[in-house]
Amino acid sequence: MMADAQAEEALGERHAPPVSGEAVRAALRQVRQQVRWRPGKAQLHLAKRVALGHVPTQATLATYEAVIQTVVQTPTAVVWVYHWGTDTYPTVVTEVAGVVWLVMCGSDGTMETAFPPEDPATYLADPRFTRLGTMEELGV
Amino acid sequence: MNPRLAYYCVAVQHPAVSGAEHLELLQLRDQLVSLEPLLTPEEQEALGTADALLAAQASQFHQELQRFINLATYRHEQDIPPERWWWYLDVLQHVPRPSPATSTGA
Repeated sequence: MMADAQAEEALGERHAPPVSGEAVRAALRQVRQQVRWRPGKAQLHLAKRVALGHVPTQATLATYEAVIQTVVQTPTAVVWVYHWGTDTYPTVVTEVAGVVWLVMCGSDGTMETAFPPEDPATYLADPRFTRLGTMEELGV
Repeated sequence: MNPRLAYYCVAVQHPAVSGAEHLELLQLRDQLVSLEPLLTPEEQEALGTADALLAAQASQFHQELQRFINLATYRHEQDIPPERWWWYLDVLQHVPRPSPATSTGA
């Protein structure tokens, strides 16, 4: 309940539309259970990560998804939500091996993207992002 | 090569990933504006090639971006001028691209 209250307060500060804390938790639990990509997108995302050197050249989808799991399994990882119209994108941010990674999924838990932003602070300064708290605080 | 430019040159080759990443790409292109006077001729050429690729794939980039942002509204809110053309991908996608025949003046 405390986590919900904090989330609501954060939402009010950023003037974002209301979002269900339970819906965010459900989406993130889905990612923890199994990474499900949008159709045809998994290899495209992996190819970009390899091309940018975010994962090793020999990395497989399993390698990439292991990074994703590390992010969403980290209790101190910070949960944000990106709001766009009626859509919400739960987003988890934390360091992995000294690099800040961002994992974003749809409201149904489908993987949207996972990448290390060049400038995380600037990226998350977008007013469409709302900080909800840590994974631990949200009870994910 | 400048690392931000190198990142941009690679990122424009991946139009079908999430629009959430494309938002970062457009922010990165903004940052390159201030770097342009400092770029070597080779880097300027690389930037031009990457820009051309972004423009040529405007429709694909916009298809993913529109799931995260309304570019027209954003331009209005941020007062973004046409010089920052990369924020106009929704417009550029409708601009006819010259065919090889017309580009050679035939």
